Amino acid sequence: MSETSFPMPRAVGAVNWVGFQTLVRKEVRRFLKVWVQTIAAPVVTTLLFYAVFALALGGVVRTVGGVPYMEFLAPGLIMMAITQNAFANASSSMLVSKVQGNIVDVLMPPLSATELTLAYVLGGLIRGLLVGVVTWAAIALVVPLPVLHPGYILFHAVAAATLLALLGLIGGIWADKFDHMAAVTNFVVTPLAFLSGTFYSIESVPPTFHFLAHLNPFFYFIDGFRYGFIGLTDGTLGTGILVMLGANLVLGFAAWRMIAKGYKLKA
Amino acid sequence: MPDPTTLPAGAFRPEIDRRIPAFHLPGFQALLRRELMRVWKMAAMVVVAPAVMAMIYFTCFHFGLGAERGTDTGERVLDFLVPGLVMLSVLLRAAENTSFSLLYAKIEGMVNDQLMAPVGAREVVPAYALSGMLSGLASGTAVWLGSLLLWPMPVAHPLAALLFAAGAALMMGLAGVLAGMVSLKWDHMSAFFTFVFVPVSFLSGLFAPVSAMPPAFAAIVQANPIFYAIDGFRWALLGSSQQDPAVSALVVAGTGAVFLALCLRLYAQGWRMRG
Repeated sequence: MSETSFPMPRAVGAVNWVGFQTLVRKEVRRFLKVWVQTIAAPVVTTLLFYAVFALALGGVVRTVGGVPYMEFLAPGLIMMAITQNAFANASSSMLVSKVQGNIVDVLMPPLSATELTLAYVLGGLIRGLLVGVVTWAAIALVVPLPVLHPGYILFHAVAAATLLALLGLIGGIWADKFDHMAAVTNFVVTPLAFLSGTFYSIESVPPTFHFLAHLNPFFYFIDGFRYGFIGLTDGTLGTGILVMLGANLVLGFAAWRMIAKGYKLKA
Repeated sequence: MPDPTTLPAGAFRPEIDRRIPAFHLPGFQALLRRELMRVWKMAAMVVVAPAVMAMIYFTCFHFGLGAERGTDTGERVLDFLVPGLVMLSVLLRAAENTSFSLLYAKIEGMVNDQLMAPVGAREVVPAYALSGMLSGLASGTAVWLGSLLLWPMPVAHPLAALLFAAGAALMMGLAGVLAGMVSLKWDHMSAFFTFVFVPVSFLSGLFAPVSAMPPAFAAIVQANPIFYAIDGFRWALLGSSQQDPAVSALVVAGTGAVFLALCLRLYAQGWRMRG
């Protein structure tokens, strides 16, 4: 009597590693497939900003806190590229899945809310860091950047990308159509990113702006990240680290809760 | 003669003159109306987003470079910047409007509606270009009003400013029609913007006078038609410029005419539109 073998369900332990890895791989492949738009385009745009500011300075050697302006500017631009892409990846992946209906392929498998949240965030994080590294390499060809505190660079890059990926994920879950997402990008993320001290030292602006900048999480990302490269800070490194850790925890919990409840995901 | 009310819809009725004149005005009007309604529906994105973006750029330059800095040619740097930012918004919005509309129609398949209707290149191309122009002007006006809030400045030659903005918007609207015709997928169009339109618009003496640039770079900038569009517009706003405004007007008109001829020819051939 020959035994008939049926495929048996795979036992899923406390963590569904296979499912988690698959989803992360899907998220990474999703943006790598269109790398011209997701990696090359942001790098070109960032370099364009860099070139424009170099030209606008017209060869005048200007310094901020004793550092040449071009060295002051570079870390901020890299950080802007990292955060904007981490946000764009998580939000567009979630929203496209919802609009096209293939979100069911993610919701039906035995993946927990924690695994889903982490996988989406990891996708955004990887894209953000990839864009950041390429931009850095391109800028380093023109203006060699010192690396004074690698730990700060790594921490701020990862924490900021995670924060924006979480924000993107929440935005993607909340938005019903592309207009909503475009509004969040145009009216929230981009202004916060630009008015953060990327282009100027926060010490040199009027008091109102100075105060507002300290309410802007991007200010802390860029300040700490810049400190890692050139050792220049507007003096709030400790607060910055606490703000970033706190914001990550709060947003992480919010995203997890939305997915666990199926808010705007499950009918 | 049979009673028209008893005839089925679309029946042959010889008493109606269906000959189409050289320029099919109703067709042109219908298409223009459709395009403008599209712009109207997206008004928030067309007008508000560029104005916000321009004010952000403005703030960054204000603090990043210092408001009282002068350029080599003597204007204050922010005076120099306003015309550039207004024009940047006009140009990119005009190109975006036409290319997006055309490609969207191609991808969704509704381009058939305009290919089958009795309108040809001479009606379709102007309709697209005009809607692109109006949309560009709307967004430019928003940016200009926004800049007045932060940095009030007079306009030296208002009529010339309007004409330069309109001419440049037509030029870029036609370039957008070309981009829309070339593209078959969204990837193509976004590549067009990232690697052609945006770099060409930014590297145009928008932020700094050519006299301050290295010679090789200045030569590239002076070969860029957008440089002339911006410089002419800057003359109209500030009353001073690097080029003779007549030269700028000629370059913009000439480039626009070349784009128009290309668009008419390619659209008439049905290149990447039919089949």
